[in-house]
Amino acid sequence: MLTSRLRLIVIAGGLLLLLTAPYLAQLTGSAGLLGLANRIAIYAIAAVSLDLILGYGALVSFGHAMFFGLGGYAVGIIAFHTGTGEPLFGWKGSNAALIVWPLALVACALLAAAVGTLSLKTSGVQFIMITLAFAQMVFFVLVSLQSYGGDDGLLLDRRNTLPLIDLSRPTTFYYVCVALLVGWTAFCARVVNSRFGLVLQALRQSERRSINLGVDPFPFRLVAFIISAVGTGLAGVLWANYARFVSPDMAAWSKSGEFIAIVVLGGLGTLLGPIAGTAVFIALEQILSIWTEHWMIVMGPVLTLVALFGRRGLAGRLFGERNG
Amino acid sequence: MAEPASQRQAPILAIDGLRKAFGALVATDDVTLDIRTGELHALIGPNGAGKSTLITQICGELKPDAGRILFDGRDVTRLRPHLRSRLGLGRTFQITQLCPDFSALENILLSIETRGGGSFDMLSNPRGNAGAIASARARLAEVGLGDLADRQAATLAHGQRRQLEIAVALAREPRLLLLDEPMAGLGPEESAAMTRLLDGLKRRYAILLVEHDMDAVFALADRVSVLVYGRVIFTGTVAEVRSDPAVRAAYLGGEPAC
Ligand SMILES: Nc1ncnc2c1ncn2[C@@H]1O[C@H](COP(=O)(O)OP(=O)(O)O)[C@@H](O)[C@H]1O
Ligand SMILES: [Mg+2]
Repeated sequence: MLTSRLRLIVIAGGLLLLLTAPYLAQLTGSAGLLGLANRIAIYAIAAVSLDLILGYGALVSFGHAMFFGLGGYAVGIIAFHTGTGEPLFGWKGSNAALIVWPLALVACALLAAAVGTLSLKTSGVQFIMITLAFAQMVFFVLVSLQSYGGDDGLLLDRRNTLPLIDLSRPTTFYYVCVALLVGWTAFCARVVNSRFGLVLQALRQSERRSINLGVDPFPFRLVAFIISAVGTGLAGVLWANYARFVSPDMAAWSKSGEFIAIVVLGGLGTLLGPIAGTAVFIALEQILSIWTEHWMIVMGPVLTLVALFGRRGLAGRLFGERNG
Repeated sequence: MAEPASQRQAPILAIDGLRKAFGALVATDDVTLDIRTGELHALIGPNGAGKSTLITQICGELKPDAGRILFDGRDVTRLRPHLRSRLGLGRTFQITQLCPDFSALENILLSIETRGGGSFDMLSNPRGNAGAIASARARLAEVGLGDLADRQAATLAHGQRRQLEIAVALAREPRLLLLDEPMAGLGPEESAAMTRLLDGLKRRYAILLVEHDMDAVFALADRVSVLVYGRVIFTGTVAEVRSDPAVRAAYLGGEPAC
């Protein structure tokens, strides 16, 4: 009763903070604040997506950065061809978000279908290692793409365009990211509480029970893996547009680890927890990296403490009890 | 002796020459056994005799080295476990297998939802399906958990979890129930309640009951098979099994059985 009211207050407060960030930035005269809020909104989409399989499906993907990277590079590569006029598979390219973004997400879904099909035959540590291996392959492919900048990455001259909405304005772009975050989180919440979600969560709790009830685990996990990858890809798409820069680092193993750390920090299997986790993680990263470039020296112990003592993460108590 | 009508029908489950070895240990040794429609068939035997191993082979989790398993006349020996379950094979485990984070009701809903293998519907919430909820509540009431529908399974007492597991198996109207030691770890009163519950299920379902509690077995079983070192050394009625000298020597140890 008390928790449910507190939960509502925290959700409303968080939403209010997200919605008013541009005004707060203006008020305090710190332009960096909007950028910080924008990075949080984008990473939170990836965190919510990863929580879908990590928290609700107990599938520890240590390679989710590959979808973040692929989503970003799809935007970057199409922008490159559109800019230079050099056709891509005979296509002149486009700058329209409504064309480029769905293409990027389809690419992520296809990669996830392939990786999921191969990796979901295993479980536990093997699954972790196989997803990591695939992400490393994607990373090295990106590094080897010399015509797209190789190691150095690729600069985009401008953001994709939407009809009626001017994405080049920082505040507008920020609100688009927040709207996508809210919409995507609502969709994921619907999924975990659906008939599909019931089976996905049952597989996490007792695979043996589920199989003996007639469930074939593989297709359920594969579909969840693909949805999760598409969400992470969307974060990559937004990141490429936000930073107007993509580099192989987007698909690095350390990025995959960061995503896991954020979800664990926020609270596994809560959807809203990982959003809070993202805010704390990105804000801490920002503050600590001003102070020292070895900010992980501080972040590491913080994460360890949360993992050790806050069994369900920062927001676990609040957003916990599965129906997040 | 008059043959019961069910005996002339084709059995719901027929096991023929089943064999399974773990290295040098033969856990299932040329087992031939059938379960008739509506029959409660008890399987008894000392610890390590291979009772659970037999059940895992019937369910398909474990592949036998040789032999055949026919379910309702159909050879299922090579069918994967989830597909066997969909044919109407319900089971409980020696160590309870439930979804601990789900409520009792959600555990039953899951069983109803997965009757055909589960749905990919990502929009509708099964907790809002009034028909399924009503039938899930009826199942819970049937096993005596009517008041605990919203309790998280992990917080239920051991005996209640056993009852819940039976309700989960029943919720899909199975054609054969495999119960692996449902009384294990229950106190005398809980055992008596479980015996009454099983007595109520008798004849509505074909049941293979693995159980150590001889009072329960003798009260419930139509027929009893005795498994020792992986071999079925005897199959017969309760009266026959109680008086058989070989069984007494090998298993009942000559002690008065009751
Ligand atoms: N997966 C396994 N690998 C090796 N040995 C096993 C395995 N499962 C069961 N056993 C052995 O098979 C024998 C029968 O076990 P089990 O079927 O559990 O007996 P029961 O249920 O009758 O007590 C035991 O000796 C057990 O140690
Ligand atoms: Mg056993």
